[in-house]
Amino acid sequence: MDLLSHLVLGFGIALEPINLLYAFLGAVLGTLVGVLPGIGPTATIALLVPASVALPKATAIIMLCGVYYGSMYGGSTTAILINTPGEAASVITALDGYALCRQGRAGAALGMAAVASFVAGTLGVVGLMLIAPPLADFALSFGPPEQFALMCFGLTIIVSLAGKSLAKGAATALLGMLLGTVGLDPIGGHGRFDFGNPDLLSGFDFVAVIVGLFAITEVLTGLEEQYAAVVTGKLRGLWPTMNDWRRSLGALWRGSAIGFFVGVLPGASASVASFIAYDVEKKVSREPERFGHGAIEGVAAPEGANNAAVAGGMVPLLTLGLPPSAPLAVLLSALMLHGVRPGPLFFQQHADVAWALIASMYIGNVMLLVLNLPLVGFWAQLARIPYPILAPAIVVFCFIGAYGVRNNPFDVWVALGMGLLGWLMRKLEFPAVPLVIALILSPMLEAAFRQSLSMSRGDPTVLVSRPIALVLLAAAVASLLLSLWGRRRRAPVTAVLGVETD
Amino acid sequence: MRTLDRASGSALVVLGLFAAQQALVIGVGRPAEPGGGVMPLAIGLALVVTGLSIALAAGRRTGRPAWPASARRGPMLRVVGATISYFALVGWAGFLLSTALFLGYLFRAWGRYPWWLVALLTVVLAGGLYAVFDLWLRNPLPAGVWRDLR
Repeated sequence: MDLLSHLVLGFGIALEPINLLYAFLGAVLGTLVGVLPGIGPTATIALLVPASVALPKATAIIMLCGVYYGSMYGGSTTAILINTPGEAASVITALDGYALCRQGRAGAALGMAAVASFVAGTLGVVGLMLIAPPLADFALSFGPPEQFALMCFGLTIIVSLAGKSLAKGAATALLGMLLGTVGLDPIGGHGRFDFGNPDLLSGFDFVAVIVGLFAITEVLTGLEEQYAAVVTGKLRGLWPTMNDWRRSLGALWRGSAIGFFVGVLPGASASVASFIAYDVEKKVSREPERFGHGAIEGVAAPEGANNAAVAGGMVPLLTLGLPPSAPLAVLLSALMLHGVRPGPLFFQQHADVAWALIASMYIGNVMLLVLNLPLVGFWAQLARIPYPILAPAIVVFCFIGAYGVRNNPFDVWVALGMGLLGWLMRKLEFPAVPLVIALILSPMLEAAFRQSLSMSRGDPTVLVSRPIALVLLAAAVASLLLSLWGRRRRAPVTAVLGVETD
Repeated sequence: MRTLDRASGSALVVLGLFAAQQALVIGVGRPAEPGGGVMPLAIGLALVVTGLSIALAAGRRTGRPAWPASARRGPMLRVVGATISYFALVGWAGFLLSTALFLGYLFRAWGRYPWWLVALLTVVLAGGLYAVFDLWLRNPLPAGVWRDLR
């Protein structure tokens, strides 16, 4: 069968009333749960996997994909409204999204996020259909040295973007990496830095760290600065203006392309895609100083990238059985629960599920746009809730978010500790974003590094002797040098991921 | 800011040295079979270098951080104290009761809302969140001493 007949088959299944209903339910549920701070796509899908067992396999997978898209969008909503990213990929959206919200332009930021998610998600699905096989071949050539180089590239981008001081950005990234080493050694399985404590042996959960560093720090800042509400003045412009569209169009295309290609690479994730897209936008902008202070393209690019990365991530998942991110790992477990094992033969053995899933991703994007655009005004009004009501409620959400992932009270104390640390870091002008990203990337980076050395029998030149790894490492060095050069040229450089914004 | 940068840089150096020392205890293995201490050792040494560069660059810093005004310290400590009490209490008293106490206290003490509004908001928020997460999504919240009543 050719592409067109496959698509007809997929849409035929996805457009069945029962599947449409569950795609809609998934999108609504995902958005609703994703809007709650600290509950990201991974936890949301995991919560609903048991509920999907009773459904036919195509219907169940369609619903869970709807949940994934919905919770990604919901996570961006909280990032914009209360500076609390629902998941790692929304961390970067919070920078300019929340700044726009504080300026009374929450509606414009939410509207842009919805449209960017739709356009990028749709482009990503088209990309998935057309170039999945050759890209899967390329992704297959990524071994541990290439994965290590890719992680290094991601980390240097974060550090180079971080605040006024490169050293402080690097310090917080190293702190995040050190936190990432606490617990079981990913290769040897031995405990590290656990000091005989079983809670430390299980490591730091990144949801608890994110919740603390962003949400609890924000509550403390709100208390200190006596916020009456996140937005006290009149909400201006519930929709993006023509100027906003003009500024964001290029960012949206670039973000979608970057997101899709980064999403395809094993080990990369929607969060890495959003950081790279943001960095590229800042570098191509004529007014980079606007970033971090309410640049609408600072919302469009990462939102486009993280949604396109979701579709990109489906390529290694469906064709190789390799989930490139945590939510897709949960989705893989759901597929296997239904007796469907993704891999090279997936499109042949389960053509109905494969193409229905692709078609439903497109339908899910349309549903999310239809669902969320009319609700932009409603979500924006949340920013006007009096702060003495909102802040205690946020603390309770933080508790649920930190506790809910592992049902471990230790994570709740970690969130509180991180909140206090985040507040202190803000005072001392240490950026928080590199810490979170390094914590997420650290285990993957370490595993790739040690596997590289093992496969080369201890020869470290393996990290630079393979062309893709060499190009990625060169890009990492170039990113740092460019950042240093930019700081000298435009000193004092305006912080982008720095103290004013995170 | 100068003193604080020196202090934070020094703290990072100490942390880096501690991480490096612990990494050696964990074991760095050999080149062909790197041990679990390799990454912590590299991170620790990098922290030492970064901490030193922050401490040494502190001489060029001016200004001072804006610490909370004295009038704000009391309310901040009150909320932090309430949060610590809430997190400590929730394991024993359960989610519903401890959340109701926490929200009720802050709505009244911070927001100065009338009692009827405090009661309404507390019941709606605590009850609503419990219904959504515990009952609907089956994501168990701490039940505390009420566990046997379920």
